[in-house]
Formats: sequence, C-alpha cells, structure tokens
Amino acid sequence: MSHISKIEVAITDLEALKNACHRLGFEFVEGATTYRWYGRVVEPEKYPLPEGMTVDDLGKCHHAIRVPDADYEIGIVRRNGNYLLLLDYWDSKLKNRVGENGGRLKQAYAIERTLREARRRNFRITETRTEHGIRLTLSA
Amino acid sequence: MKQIVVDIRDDGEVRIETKGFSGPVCLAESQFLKDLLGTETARSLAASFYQRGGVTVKRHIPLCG
Repeated sequence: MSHISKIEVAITDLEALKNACHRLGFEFVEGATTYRWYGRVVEPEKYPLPEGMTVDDLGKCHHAIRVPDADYEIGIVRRNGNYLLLLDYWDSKLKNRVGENGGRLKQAYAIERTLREARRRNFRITETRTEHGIRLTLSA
Repeated sequence: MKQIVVDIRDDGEVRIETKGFSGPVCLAESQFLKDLLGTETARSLAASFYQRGGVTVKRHIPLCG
C-alpha cells in the first residue's frame, strides 16, 4: 500500500452520466428544459438551495433524468463546467432510487467514468460488490 | 503487482488506494483518476510511500521549536 485518497465526486462528463443512468435503469432525456418537481420551495432554511441557485432556477434544466415509478424527475444543470443534479426529495420513490444526496447516481457515474478511462489506458479491471458499495480493481 | 483499488460507496463517496508502488510514483500513477472524478478531500500516506527502491528514507522531524 502506498497511499489512500478520498475524492468528492463532481459530475463533468455527460457520456458517463448517460451510462450511469443506463446502469441504474433510468432514462436520460437529452435537451429537456424542464423537470418535474413539487413546484414551490418548502422550508428553505431546512433544505437550502445549491450554491448560486435561486428559486427561479428550480424546475429549469439542460437535461433531465426519469426514474421508473417516481413522480418527480432529476434536473441536470450545467454550471461552471460541472453538472448539478437537482431533485425534489418530497417524492420518496425518487429518493429511495437515487439515494441520499444523489449518492447512488454519483456512485454509478464514478463507476462508469472510471471504467471508461481504465479501459482506455488498458488496465485489467475487476468489479466486485462490497458491504458498502462497489470495488473496482485496476491492475497494470 | 501494481494495483489501483477504487472503492465507490453507495452514498457516492470514493476512496482510492494504490498498492504495490514504492515512493511518490503512486501519487502520479493515480492522479488521472482524481482529476476525472472530482476533488481530493483527504490523503494518507503509507510506510511504503517513504521507500526508494525498497530502502526506507529516514527523515528527522523537529519535535519542538
């Protein structure tokens, strides 16, 4: 062992996000300009908006993701080279499928992004399920 | 064998561990993953990080002053 790093995932690659949706059984709606949500902000002090976002920005997006059986959708907003995920957790079915803070979608994105780059660099790859997630082992 | 182990938790947290590398080359070898996944928020170095060609590099650390 040489070193261990922790990484906070930022979504910057739309192709990997599309592959992540495919992995999870979600539908990526390219070019969608709106996404379904509750329609008004409730308890903003308890659920603050993402940095730089205003109430008027909610419901608008550059792309969207549809989650099977969920009433609301995920909005994807391009900002400063990153893609922000906007979703209304009032829909418990959406929350259950996507995970707290979009964790499962970020996980699938990180897997797909890593796999693509690892293949491009000719690593041998194994994917295994662990107690708390997925382990990708890249061997040179 | 040189390996990069990427643990991606269900809550979206990513942990990258390098194995089989000696010295700081492990940082360079795994940097591409950090660059494409996001921002490195924490790092811990293992004993083998301080090895050069299998020999441990000893450093004197000032304990006071």
